[in-house]
Amino acid sequence: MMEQQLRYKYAALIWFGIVLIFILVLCYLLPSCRLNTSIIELLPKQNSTQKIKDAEIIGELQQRLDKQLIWLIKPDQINDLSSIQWFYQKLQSQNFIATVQGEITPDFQTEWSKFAFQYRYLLIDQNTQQRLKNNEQLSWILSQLYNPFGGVNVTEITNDPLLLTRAGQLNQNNSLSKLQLTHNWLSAIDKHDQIWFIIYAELKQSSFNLNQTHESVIQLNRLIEEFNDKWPNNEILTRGILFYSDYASSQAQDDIETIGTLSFIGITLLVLSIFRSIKPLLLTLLSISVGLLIGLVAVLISFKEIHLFTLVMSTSIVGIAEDYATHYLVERMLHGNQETARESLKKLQNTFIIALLTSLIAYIILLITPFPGLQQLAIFAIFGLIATFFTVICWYPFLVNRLPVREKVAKNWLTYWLNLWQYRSFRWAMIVGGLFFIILGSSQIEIDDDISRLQTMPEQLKQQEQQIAAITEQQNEQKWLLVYGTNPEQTLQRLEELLPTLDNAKKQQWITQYQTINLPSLKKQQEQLTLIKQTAPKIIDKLIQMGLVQPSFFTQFKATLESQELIYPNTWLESPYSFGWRLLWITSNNKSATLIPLNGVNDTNKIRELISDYSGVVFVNNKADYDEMFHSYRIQLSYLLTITIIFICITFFIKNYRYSLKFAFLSCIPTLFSIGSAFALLGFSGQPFNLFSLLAFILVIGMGIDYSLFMSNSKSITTSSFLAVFMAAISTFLSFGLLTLSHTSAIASFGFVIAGGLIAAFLFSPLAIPPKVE
Amino acid sequence: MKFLSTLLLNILLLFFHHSYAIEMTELQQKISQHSIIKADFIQQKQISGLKDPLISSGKMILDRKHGLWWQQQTPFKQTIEANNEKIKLIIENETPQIITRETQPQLFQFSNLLNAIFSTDIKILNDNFKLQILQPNQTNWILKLTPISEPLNKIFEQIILSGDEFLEVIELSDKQNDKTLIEFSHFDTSPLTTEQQQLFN
Repeated sequence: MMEQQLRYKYAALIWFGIVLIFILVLCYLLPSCRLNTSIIELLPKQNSTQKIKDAEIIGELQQRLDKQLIWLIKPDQINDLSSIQWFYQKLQSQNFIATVQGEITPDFQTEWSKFAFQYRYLLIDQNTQQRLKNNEQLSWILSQLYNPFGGVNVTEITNDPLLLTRAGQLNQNNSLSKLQLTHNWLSAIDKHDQIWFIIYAELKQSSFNLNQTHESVIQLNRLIEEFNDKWPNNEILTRGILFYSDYASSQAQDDIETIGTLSFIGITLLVLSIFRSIKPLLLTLLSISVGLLIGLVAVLISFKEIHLFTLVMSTSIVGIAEDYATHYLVERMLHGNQETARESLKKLQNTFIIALLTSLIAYIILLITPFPGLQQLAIFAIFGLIATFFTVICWYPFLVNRLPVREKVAKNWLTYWLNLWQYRSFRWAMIVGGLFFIILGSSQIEIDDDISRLQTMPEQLKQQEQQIAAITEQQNEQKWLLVYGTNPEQTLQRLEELLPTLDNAKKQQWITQYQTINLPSLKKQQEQLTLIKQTAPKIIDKLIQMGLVQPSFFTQFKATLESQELIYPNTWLESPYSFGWRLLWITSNNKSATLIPLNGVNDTNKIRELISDYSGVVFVNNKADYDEMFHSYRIQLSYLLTITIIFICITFFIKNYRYSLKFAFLSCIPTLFSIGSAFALLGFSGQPFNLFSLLAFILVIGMGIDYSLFMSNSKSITTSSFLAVFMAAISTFLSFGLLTLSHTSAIASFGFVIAGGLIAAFLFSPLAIPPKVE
Repeated sequence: MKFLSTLLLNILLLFFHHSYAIEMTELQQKISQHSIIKADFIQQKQISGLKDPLISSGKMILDRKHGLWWQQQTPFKQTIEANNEKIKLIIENETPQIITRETQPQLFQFSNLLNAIFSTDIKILNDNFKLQILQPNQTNWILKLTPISEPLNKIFEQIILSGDEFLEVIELSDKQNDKTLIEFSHFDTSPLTTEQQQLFN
C-alpha cells in the first residue's frame, strides 16, 4: 500500500518535471518563433520552396500596402488650400506616421526633371523607341517645334534636341496621368469636374498591431472631426486597411468583453452553486492551461512557428479537455465520503482512456491531410489532450482534498429526467422530434466559402473607399502579378519580357489597366544606348542643317554617351524619379520582386493562362486564394469528419453489441444527433456553413463521444455520470455557446454549431446508458 | 419692402450684367454667325535665341458642330483633328496619335481649351482667362486673354485675338518670351463638300 502511494507520488513528480521542462522549452522557443498570419501558407504545398518564397514576398508587400493611408479633400474654393495644408501638417506631426506625401514642391519637380534629363538616353519611352526605329523622331521633333502650344524653348533645343525628356514626360504611364498637379499638390478630377486634393501617408507599423492601431484611429478620427468643424464646407474621404482592422478588432474586443464577462460569471456561478467551492474552477483551469502549454510547445518544436489559425482553432480542444476534469470533480463531490480520491479515479480511468483514444484518432486523421493548418491543429490537440489527461490522472487525486461533498445535488431532477427515458413513448417522441428538427434545419443550410462574409464591413468606410476609387481610378482590387528573380536585374528583364503580353491583354480588354515601375533593366538601358548611337546622329545632322542646333552639339552628344552612367536599382530608389513606384519594388536578402497591380480583370483564368509561359511570374489574387483555401479545407475536412463519424459509430456499435442489437444502434444516436442538430441550428440561424463552422464540428464530435462514454461507464453510478455530463455541457455552453452573440459572422457560426451540438449531445446522452444485464 | 429691395437689386444686377455683356455677346454673335469657316493660315513662331522664325502654312476648317480640322502643309505635313471626344494628330503619313479624355485627361483638357481659342468660344474662355476687349468702339475687335487657370497661366503670358467678322489674327506670347503669330486669310463659309465632310469622320 505504501509502495503504491509512493508510486503515485513519483508519477505526480515526474509529470511535474515534464511540465516544468515544457515551460522552460517554451521560454527558450518563444522569442525566436514566429506567429504566421499568411493565409497562403495554409494551402497545401505543391512546389514548396518556391511557394514559401512567393508567400514571403507577397506577405512583405501586403504588409507595406497595409501601412498605406489615403485622404481626398475637396476644398470649398479651388484656390484656398488652407484646409489641406492644415491637415497635411497635422498628419506630419503624428508620431505613428512615418511619411506624408501630397505636396510636390517645385524643388522636387526640378530634381525629378534633372534625373529624367541626366538619364534621358536610358529612359526612352516605348513610343519614342518606336519612332526612332521607324525614322519618325525627326518629324515629331519638328512638329513639337512648330506647334504654337508646344513650348519648346531655346534651352531645351540646345540641351536635348532629340526632345527625349519631353517625350518621356508626355508618354508617362497613363494611369498616372489621372493624377495631376494643382497648385503643386497631387490631385484628381471627379466626374463633376471637381478637384480633389490627395494626401498619402504611411504608418510606422503595420495595421495589425492592435493597441497602436486603435490609438492611431482615434487620433485620426479626432483630426477629421476638427477638420470638419473648421471647414464645414470642405469634404474629406479616407481609405486605409488600418480602419478596417481597427473596426474588426474593436468589434472582437467588444465580443470578448461581453461574452467573456458573461461566460466568466456564468461558469463561476455554476461551479459555486454545484460544488460550493472555487477549487474546481481553479483545477479545471490548471488542467486546461497545462494542455494549452504542451500543445503549443509541441507545435513550436515540430513546425518552428505557429499559425494564427492554429492558435484560434486550438481553443476548441479546451471544451474536450475540461470534460475529464469535470467528470472527476463531480465524482468526488458526490462520492467523496465513500471512496478515496484514488478509488474515484480508478472508476473513471478506463472511460477517460477510451475517450482520449477516440479523440486522438479523430485528430490523427487530420495529421494525414496535406494542409499545414490542420496538421498544426492536430499536433496541438493530440499533445494538449494527452497533457490534460495526465494532469487529471497524476495530480488531481492529490489536489482534490477538502472538496466539499454534496451527495444529493440535483438528484431529484436528474433522476426524473433519466427515468423519463425509460418510457418507450418518450424515447421515440424525442427521437422523432429530434429527427424532425434536424431535417428541417439542415434543409436551410447554405454553403458559402466567400471569406468576405466572415467579416462585417462598416458601410461608411466602404462607401468612402468606392468614392476614392471612382475619383482616382485606382481600384483596390487586390489582383496583382508578381514578377520575381534571384537578383534585381533578372526581375527587371523578366518584367520587360512580360510587358508586351500585358499590353496585348489590355488591347483585348482582358484587363483595363496595369501599373508597372519606371526602372528599366541594365540590359534594356544598354539597348537604348545602342539605339540612340545608331539613330540619333542622322537626326542631329538634319537639325544642324536647319539651323536649329549648333554644330558643336555633336561633340557634346558623343561625350555624354561615352560617360553615360547606368541606372542601378539603388540609384533609382534614392532618386525622386521612383516617387510613387517604390511600393511596388522589393529587394532584400537575395530576394527581388516587383508587383504589377491589375485593374479590371475580366477573366482570371485568362490571366493565369497568359502568364503560364513565363518563368518567375505569379498571379496573386488574394481574395480568390483565400476563398479557394477555405473551399478546399472545407471539402477535405468534411470527408475526414465523415470518416471519423463512421469510425466512431462502428466502435460504439461493436462495443455495445454485447448488450443488444437495438442498444448498439441507440448508442450511436447521441453522437449522430449532436452533429445533426449542430447542422440544424446553423441552418436556422442563417449563418453560412464554411470552414469555421466545420471546425466547431470537431469539438462537437469530441464532446459527443465523451458524453456517450461517460454515460455508458458501468462502474460509475448513472446519476453521477449524468451530473458530470450536465456540468461539462453547461460549462462548455457558457464558454463556447455564447459565441453565438458575437458580431463577427465567423465566430457566431462557430457558436451556433457548438450550441446545437451540445444541446443534442446532452439531451440524448441517456440513450447511451447500457440496459441492465440481468 | 423686402420684395421691393430684392426686385431693385435684381434690376440693378441685370443692368450691370447687361452693360458688361453687351460687348461680349455682340462679339460672340459676330464671331459665331458662321457655323462653318474655311481659311488658309500662315504661322510664324519666333523662339527667342534662335536666329530665324519657324514659318509654316496650311489650311483649316472649323465646323462648329463637328470640330476643328487643321492641316499644316509646309514645311512638312501635319494634321490635327479635334472634337469633343478625341484629338488626332498625324505627322506626315505616320501612325496617328490619339488623345482622349479617358487616356490623357490633362493633355486633352489643355488641347480642348486651345480649340476654344480657335472657335472663340467665349463661355469656355471666360472660365480660364480674364477677358478684356481693347478698342471697344471700332468695328474691328481686339480681345486680350490673360490666363488664370493652371496650367495655362504657367505657359502663356497673354493671348491676343483680333478680327472683324472672322478671327483674323492670333498672337500667343508665352512666359519664355517666345511668340507665335497666326494669320488667317481666304475665308470661305460655304457648306462642306463631301470630301471635306469625310475629314471629320
